[in-house]
Amino acid sequence: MSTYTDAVYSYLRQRLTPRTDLVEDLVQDVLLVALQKLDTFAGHSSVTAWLILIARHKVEDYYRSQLRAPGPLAELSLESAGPVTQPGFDERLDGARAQEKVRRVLARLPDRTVSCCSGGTGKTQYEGHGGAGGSNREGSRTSARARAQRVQAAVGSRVR
Amino acid sequence: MSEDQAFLRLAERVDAARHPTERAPARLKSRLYSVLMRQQAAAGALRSLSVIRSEGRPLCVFERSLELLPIGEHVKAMNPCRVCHARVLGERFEAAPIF
Repeated sequence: MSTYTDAVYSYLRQRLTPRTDLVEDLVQDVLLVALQKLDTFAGHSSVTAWLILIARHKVEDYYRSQLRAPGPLAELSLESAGPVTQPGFDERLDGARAQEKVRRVLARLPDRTVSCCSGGTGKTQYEGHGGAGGSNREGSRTSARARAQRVQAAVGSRVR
Repeated sequence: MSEDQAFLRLAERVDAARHPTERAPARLKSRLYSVLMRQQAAAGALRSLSVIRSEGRPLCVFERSLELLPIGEHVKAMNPCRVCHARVLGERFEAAPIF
């Protein structure tokens, strides 16, 4: 229980700052909900991830209720909140989500466009090829730039 | 894939979920333990202290004393923590002088 509590506490504290006074009550709510819904836990993920998902819903509920009944902002004291030492969990989650989205878009592109884009090295060809000769290098850069623009247009149309 | 499933998949991969950098205060853990035990007791009979120990779970010194007493099993399954001074101290102080 200690491990799970630490994970949920850490997540909620990061999401609710500066309202850290709410964290402990919400941790309790999360664990009570988890106990009630334990039979719905399918086991497709770890218990910690499942608890953090419940915590996420609790945070959304809280902010939704705040939107419905806005209070005076002056009551919030940023000084009393204390420092948040944990690196942003949500920022890393957003980063992972963005990577996932790029991967999905690349998977939908035709093979020629993808190879033109990545060249199998993780870099674009525009970045990856240094070239040796002067005018040759310039010509290569121009064509690489044109290819990069085509890829950008193709990716843009897929994302939209 | 629903938003929740995507979140679960990503949370699995993010280290913060597996290795939280902040620890919950001890008094919060005591409080949660009491709340969850209360909830469990309300839902049905708890397991006896003797059964818990035989399954290899540790008992605190007070629970162990109760377990050794020649009393019925139903008394040993009555969530003794709810009347324990250690619980009260543990829920209010970070490093409670319990024993």
